[in-house]
Amino acid sequence: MSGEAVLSVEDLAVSYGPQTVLEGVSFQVPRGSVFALLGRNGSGKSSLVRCALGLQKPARGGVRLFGEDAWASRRRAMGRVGVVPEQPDAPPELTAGELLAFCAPFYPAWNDTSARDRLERYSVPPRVPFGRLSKGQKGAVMLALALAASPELLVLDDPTLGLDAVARRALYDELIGELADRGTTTLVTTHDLDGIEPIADRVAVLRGARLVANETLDALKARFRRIRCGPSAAPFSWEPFEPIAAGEKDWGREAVVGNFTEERLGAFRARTVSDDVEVGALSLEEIFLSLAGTPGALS
Amino acid sequence: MSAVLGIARQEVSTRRFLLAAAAALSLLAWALRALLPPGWSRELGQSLALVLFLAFPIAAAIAVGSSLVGRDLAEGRLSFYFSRPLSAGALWAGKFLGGAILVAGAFLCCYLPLALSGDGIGRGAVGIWLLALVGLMAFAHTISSMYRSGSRLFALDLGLGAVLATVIVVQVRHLAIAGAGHVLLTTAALPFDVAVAAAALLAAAAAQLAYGRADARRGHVALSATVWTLALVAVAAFALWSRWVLGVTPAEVGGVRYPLLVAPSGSALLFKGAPERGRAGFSPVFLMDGESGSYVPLAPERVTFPAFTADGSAAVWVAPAVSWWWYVAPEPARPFSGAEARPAALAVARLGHGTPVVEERALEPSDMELALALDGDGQRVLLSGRAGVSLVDVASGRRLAEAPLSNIWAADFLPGGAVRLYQTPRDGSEHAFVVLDWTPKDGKRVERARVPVDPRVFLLARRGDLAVVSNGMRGKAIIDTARGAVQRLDSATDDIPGAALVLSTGLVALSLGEEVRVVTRAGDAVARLPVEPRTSVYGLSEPAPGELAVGLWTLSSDRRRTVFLDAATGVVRRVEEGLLPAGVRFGAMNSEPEPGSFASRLFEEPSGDLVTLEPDGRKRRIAGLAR
Repeated sequence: MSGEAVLSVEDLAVSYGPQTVLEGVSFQVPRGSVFALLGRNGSGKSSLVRCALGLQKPARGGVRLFGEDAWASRRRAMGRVGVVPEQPDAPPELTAGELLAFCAPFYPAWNDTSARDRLERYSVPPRVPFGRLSKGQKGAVMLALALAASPELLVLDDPTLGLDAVARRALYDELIGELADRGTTTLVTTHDLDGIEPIADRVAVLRGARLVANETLDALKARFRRIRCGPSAAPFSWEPFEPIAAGEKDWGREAVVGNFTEERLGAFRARTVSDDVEVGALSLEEIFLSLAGTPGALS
Repeated sequence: MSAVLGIARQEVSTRRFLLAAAAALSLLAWALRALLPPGWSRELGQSLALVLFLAFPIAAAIAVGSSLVGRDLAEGRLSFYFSRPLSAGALWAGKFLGGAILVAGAFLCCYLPLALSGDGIGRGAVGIWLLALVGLMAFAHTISSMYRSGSRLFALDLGLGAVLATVIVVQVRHLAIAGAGHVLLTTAALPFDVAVAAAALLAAAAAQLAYGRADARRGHVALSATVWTLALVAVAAFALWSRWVLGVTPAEVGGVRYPLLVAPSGSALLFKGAPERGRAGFSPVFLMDGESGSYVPLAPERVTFPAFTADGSAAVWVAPAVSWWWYVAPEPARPFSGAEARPAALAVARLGHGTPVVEERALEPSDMELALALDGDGQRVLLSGRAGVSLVDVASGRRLAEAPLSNIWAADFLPGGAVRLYQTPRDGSEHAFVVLDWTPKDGKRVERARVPVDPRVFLLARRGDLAVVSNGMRGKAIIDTARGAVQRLDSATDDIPGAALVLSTGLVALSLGEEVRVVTRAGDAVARLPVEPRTSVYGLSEPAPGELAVGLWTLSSDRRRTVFLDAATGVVRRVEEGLLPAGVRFGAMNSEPEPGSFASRLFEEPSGDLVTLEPDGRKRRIAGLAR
């Protein structure tokens, strides 16, 4: 992974009438990274993707794709980008074979053989119109079209939406294979946090139209921890931690904190005068829930 | 280019069932028409071919246009194209090229049965059809995109569309009322209009895709802004063009065409210009003051022969009812009669004070067709219709009296309120020409003369108690109503209908094949002018008291000239080459003009230009007609 940004979002704002969907969003997707953009439904992920692909003009700010304005240079940039949209959008009357034939002339590095191999692997019938394929098969066709262009940037907008576990697994396997082979930069928006966690390098979280997190997954996992401690007769405080959620249990207290460090843990132990302090790691899903969910007591 | 063709190919491939359906139906229609013996099945084939030709391509254009981009937009699939390295221009061109190929293909399939059976509509019409179908496809795309965007802007579009339609209707109505409605259908304006509309809609679609891309609402803004801007420009251009068309002047109409009617006194004249020399094929009827050149254009379909007052200060004519169909299929093709766009009216013109002033008044008797005579003060007019004649009050348009008299050639008001009528009644097997006096006050009718005639009879001239009719191929008859006497004169060669003039001196000049003879009311010759072989007497006039002007036209050499002679002696005074007397040649619609009047000195040049001959022999071109 080099430091060069393939995609650079700068002070992006998108609104639909009076409703602001994105406000002052800025981040960069470094070359070779797998960038997971997370957020709840309606948090503006798809709007951001549309702006990134030059499909939608933002109200303010902009997106630079390969160093150029995504809106102004969309056509040139799209030759280097593979896209798997949230809703498979290929013309429903065309078969998978016809779709490959249609797209092939537009891309200089088109790999038709690999695309056809993929379709065969996914058991996509080549002569059935796209509109009559199953949801999983449609997703597979869109991924095959995206990867056949040998893209420098792969944009996956909630690619596992509506897929069953097998199809989801197949998609991630394919993605991992592609990443291992070519090191393609990937921007992925998803609700499938378990699926993306093993491959994501960097995570950004949208909440309330704004970006509330943007860092490497390792850094995120290092600062988000679950802390448990036994009952204590002394007056209790989570300081120096800043709990995002906290609650009392039969066996003691529990909190999720977002500013964990070993130094703070030492200070906390010293303050509580207790050896019964347990620190646990959080999954990406738990971190996401802490960031994007409603703060409050842990259940 | 390959991207454009690729998208076009995809569009055609996606909707190839349209072409297949058109081809199959076309083949069926052709087979039913061509292969089966005459009978219901062949008629079914003919009907199918016609319905197919008229309906299928229109339906195809609407279906293709409304789904070309609109469906992709509504179903969120336009992003598929914009996620590829494709320009908006290539997408637009490919989509609409594919659509045009489909629509044109469907049209040609549907047209084939008609073309094969010899009922084709011509290459020009095929071109206009194709253009119109592409325009319709673009129109369907526009409406579909606006509707499917789900934006509130669609309500504004509907409002602006209604305003635009109203403005266009007002403009078209303005043209139609002026008699120029047909130019929209019969001139080069139609393909031009269709091409401009199609181009504007296609340009709007390009703006929609370039500015909006996959964003339906943003695309809608671009589409609407382009459509309404171009529509505004088009409507403004249409208004300017309409103004230009209606602004045609007498000088532009390229020569006067008949009917040319001139007031017996004063200098008013009424004529129809040549359509091929007007503006966009429009040439109105001009009612003009020949001295000043001031004029008023009139809708041709609302003008019939006028009746003038003796002093030329007023004219009245029947403005016929015009049905809506007239504007679609003007004369001579009038396939349908329908609701009246404009009812029949009485048109009244005030003359002699510069620009003529014309106003239309409601006409009580709605079956009247022609104004026969206007009394001296312009208060009462005699109108004729199929069922009879009516005396009508000019001010109110109400009928004062009527009589069941048909086939009236002409009429004159007599002192005392009676009306003299020249008639060829068809009340028996014998053909006759009758002169009778009708008193509207008491309905009394007095027959002054009855002359048995050939069916080929024309009233050539009348003045006072004398009338001249052409009777058959060679005969002429002078009818003296004062005495009830008839003088028959025959020519040695055919002379139908010939020409005649009752001079102010009471002498009668008439053509008799090989000569023009001036005779007394008793038929005695006082002067003769030999006429060369293969030369027709075009017209006669009396430019000065006792002077006879004889217009001669040798068709073989297209030589036109007017010979001026002393009517009492036959001595030729001079010959004016290239001139012929202007005005109605026969039918004697109007009273004879007084000698020396504007009408009696009016001549026509071969170009159709009008000149008057001044007493000193100088020619004076009619103001307003000079080019």
